[in-house]
Amino acid sequence: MALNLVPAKHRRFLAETRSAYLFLLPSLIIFGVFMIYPMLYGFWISFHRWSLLGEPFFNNGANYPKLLTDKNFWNSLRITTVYTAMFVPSITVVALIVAGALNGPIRFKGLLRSLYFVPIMSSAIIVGLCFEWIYNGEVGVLAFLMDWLGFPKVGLLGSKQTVLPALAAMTVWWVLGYYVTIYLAGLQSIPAHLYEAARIDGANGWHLVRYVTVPLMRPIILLVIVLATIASFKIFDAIYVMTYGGPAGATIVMTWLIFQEAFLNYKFGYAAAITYALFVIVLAITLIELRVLRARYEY
Amino acid sequence: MSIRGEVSTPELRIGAGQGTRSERFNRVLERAASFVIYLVVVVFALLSVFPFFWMFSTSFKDQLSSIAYPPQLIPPEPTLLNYEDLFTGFDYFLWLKNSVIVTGVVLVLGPLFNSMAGYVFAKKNFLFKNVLFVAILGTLIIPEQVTIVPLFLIFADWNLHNTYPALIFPYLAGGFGVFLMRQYMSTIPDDLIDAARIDGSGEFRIFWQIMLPLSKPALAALGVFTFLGSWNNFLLPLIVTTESEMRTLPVGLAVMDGHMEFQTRWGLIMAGGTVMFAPALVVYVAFQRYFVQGIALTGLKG
Repeated sequence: MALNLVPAKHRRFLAETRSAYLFLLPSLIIFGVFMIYPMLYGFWISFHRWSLLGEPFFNNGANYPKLLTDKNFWNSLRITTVYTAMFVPSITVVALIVAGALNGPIRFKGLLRSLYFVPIMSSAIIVGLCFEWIYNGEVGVLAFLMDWLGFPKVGLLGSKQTVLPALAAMTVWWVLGYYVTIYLAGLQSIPAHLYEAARIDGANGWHLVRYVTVPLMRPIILLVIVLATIASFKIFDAIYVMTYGGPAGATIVMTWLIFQEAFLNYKFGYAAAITYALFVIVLAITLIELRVLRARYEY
Repeated sequence: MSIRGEVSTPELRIGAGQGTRSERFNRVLERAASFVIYLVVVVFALLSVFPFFWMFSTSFKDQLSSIAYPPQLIPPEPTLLNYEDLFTGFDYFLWLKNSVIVTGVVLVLGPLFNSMAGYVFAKKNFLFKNVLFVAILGTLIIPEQVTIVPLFLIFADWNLHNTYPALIFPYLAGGFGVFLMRQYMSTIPDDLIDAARIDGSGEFRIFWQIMLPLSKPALAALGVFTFLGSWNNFLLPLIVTTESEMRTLPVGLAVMDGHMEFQTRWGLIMAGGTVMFAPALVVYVAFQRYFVQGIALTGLKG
C-alpha cells in the first residue's frame, strides 16, 4: 500500500490533479493534435524539400538560407510592410476619433454604436465582394462619385499604386467597430472630474484632447497599435476574392506567398520555412513596438 | 475626447444668455464642434451599413440593372431570379448545409471544452497548472499559417480531406476561449463549490449544475465569437475541401466568384452574400451586449 506512505495533503493534490486532467482531456487532445503536433511537424517539414510527388527529402535546412536570397520573399515582406504602414496609423487615428465622438454627450449613441459593428459581423469574403463593386472602375460607386466630381473613372484594384491603399481603407472600414469598442472601454474609465478640473483651469476642447485624453489613453493606444499590426500581417481572405495577388504581383503579401508556394506550387518545405519567418517577424515587431512605444511614453 | 467635456458645471452656466464677447464666441465654437461631431459619427455610421444595403438591393436585380451606370440603388424591377438560380444552378444549398453542420457542432462542443478547461484553471490546484496555462495562452500569438501547411499534409495522410472532422476538430478548443472562461469563472465564489461538495455533488455535477449556469454571460460572449469565427472561417476550409459538395459558404462563394472573372454576375454573388450574412446579423442583434462585453473583457480577439 504505497499510497498510505503519502501524506494526506499530497494525496488530495494528486486526486485533484487526476480529476483536473479529466476536465482538461478534450481540450488538451485538440491542442496537442491540431496545434502542437502540426507546429512541430511544420518545423520538421521546413528542413526538407517536399513536393506533392515523391518523398520528403532532408536538405540540411537549405530552405532558410534560400529564403534570405529569395527576392520574392523580400518583396512580399516589403508589400506587407507598406500595407501595415498604411493600415495601422489609419485605424489607430480614425477609431480614436470615432470613439471620442461617440463618447461625448450625443443622442442615439446606442444605435450609432450598433451600426459601426455591422461590418465585423460579416466575413472578409462578403466585405471583399462588396468592395470589388465599390472599387470597380466601370460600374462601381467610387468611380461614379469621381465621374460626378469631374475626375476620370479609375478602378482602384487594377493599378499597382492604388491597390494597397484601397485594401487598407477597406480593412479600416471593416474592423472600425472592434477598435472603437476597445477605445470606448478605455475612454469610459477616465474620470470626468479630470476634464472639469482642466476646464476650470481654462483648457479648451483641443487642450482637453491633447493634455487629458491622449496621455491617459496611451496604454490603450499602444494595445490598438499592437493588435492592428498583428492583424495586418494576417490579411489573406480579402486578397483571395479581390486581387488574387495581383495586379502584377502587387498584393503578394507574406500570407499570400505562403499560400502560393504551398498550395499552388506544392513546395511545402519552403512554404513551411516562410511560415516560421512570418512567425518570427510578427513576434519581433510586437516586442519592438511594445518596447519603443512604452519607452517614449515614460516621463 | 469628449470635446464638450461636461461644461455644465454651475459656475459656468451662470450668466448664460448675456456673457462677454469671448464667452459668446466660445459657445458658438462649442456648437460648431458638436455639429462636426454629429456629422462624423453619422457619416461613418451610414458608411458602415451602405455596402450591405447595396448587397441586399443588388441581390434583387437582374444582370442588366446590376451593371447599370450610374449605379441603381433600388432595383427598378425586383426579381427573385438570383435566389432561385443560387439554390438550383449551384451547390449553394450544400454549402449552406455544411456551414450549418460545422458551425453547429463547433458551437456546442467548443464552448463546452473551453469551459471545462477554464474551470479547472480557475478553481483547481494541480500538477503543471501554470506551465499548461502559459502554453495555452502562448498559442494565441501563433499565426494561423504556421499550422495550416502541416495540417494540410496531416489531413491528407489521415484521409480527412473533404470531411467534416477536418473542418470541425481544429476549432473545438482555443486559447481565447479557455482564457475568457477562466477569467470569468475565477470571479465565482468558492463557497458555492464547497457547499455543493458538502451536499455530496460530484466534480462533473458541480461543473455542470453550478459553474456553467453561473457563467452564462461569458458563455454567451464566447458563443458569439465562436459562431462568427466558424461561420466566417475561410483559410483551412479552402485548402482541405477540393470537392464542391464539401465546401462551406465562404469558400463556395469565393470560388464561385473566382470562376466569373470575365462577366461577374453581381446579382447572384450578392444573393449568396445576403443569405450568408443574414444569420450573422441575427446573432449580432440578439447577442450584441455580450459581444461588446467580450471585446472589452479581453481586448484580445483579433
